[in-house]
Amino acid sequence: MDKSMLADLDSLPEADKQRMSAMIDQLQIRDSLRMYNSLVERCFTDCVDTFKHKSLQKQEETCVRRCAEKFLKHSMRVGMRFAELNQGAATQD
Amino acid sequence: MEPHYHYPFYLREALLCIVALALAHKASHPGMHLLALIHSYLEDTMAANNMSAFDKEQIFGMAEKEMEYRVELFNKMTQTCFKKCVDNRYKESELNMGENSCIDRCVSKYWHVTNLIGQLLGSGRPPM
Repeated sequence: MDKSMLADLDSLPEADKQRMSAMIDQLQIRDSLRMYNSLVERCFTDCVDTFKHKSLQKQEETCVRRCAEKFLKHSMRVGMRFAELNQGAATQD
Repeated sequence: MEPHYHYPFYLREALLCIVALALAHKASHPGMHLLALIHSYLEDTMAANNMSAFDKEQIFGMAEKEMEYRVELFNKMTQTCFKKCVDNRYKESELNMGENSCIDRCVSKYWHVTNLIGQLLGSGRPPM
């Protein structure tokens, strides 16, 4: 993202700026809840297959940890690329 | 690892930029360069706050929809590319080289498909 563009955005009226960041915060909360659920779903499905025990086994736990960590890293990378593409599209036309 | 998920700050910046875009767009100068659009919007609003309350509501509505759409797109893209690129046996918690380049290509292609379908739907005939 071009820093000068953000600086421009900073010069918006205070009330508008606040409203926008409230909007973004709200989206972020909703999104992180959705993300939580989908991560549980994914890692559970991929890591937990047998039900011989009541508690999570060591290797299942390791798998879940790796799964979550890997997904977050993945999501960061996608975010980076996505931002680049958005930026490209925004400055092209 | 972060205790809870937050989408990356650069996405937040992208979103802010899009908001500016949507806000500027409503200034109704289609075809104008984006930066010029943003500048003209800013100048207009900064100079005189002559926008009606109704206009403003519409602009915020648009900006919100646009942001929601982008977040949705980002989420779908993330899910899809994870499924396609990342080995689901989780032998390690790092992304390896193959996975990384797959992710980059997947994101790029997903983006292209999004634009392509957009063009197809946008050009003339209604989808249904």
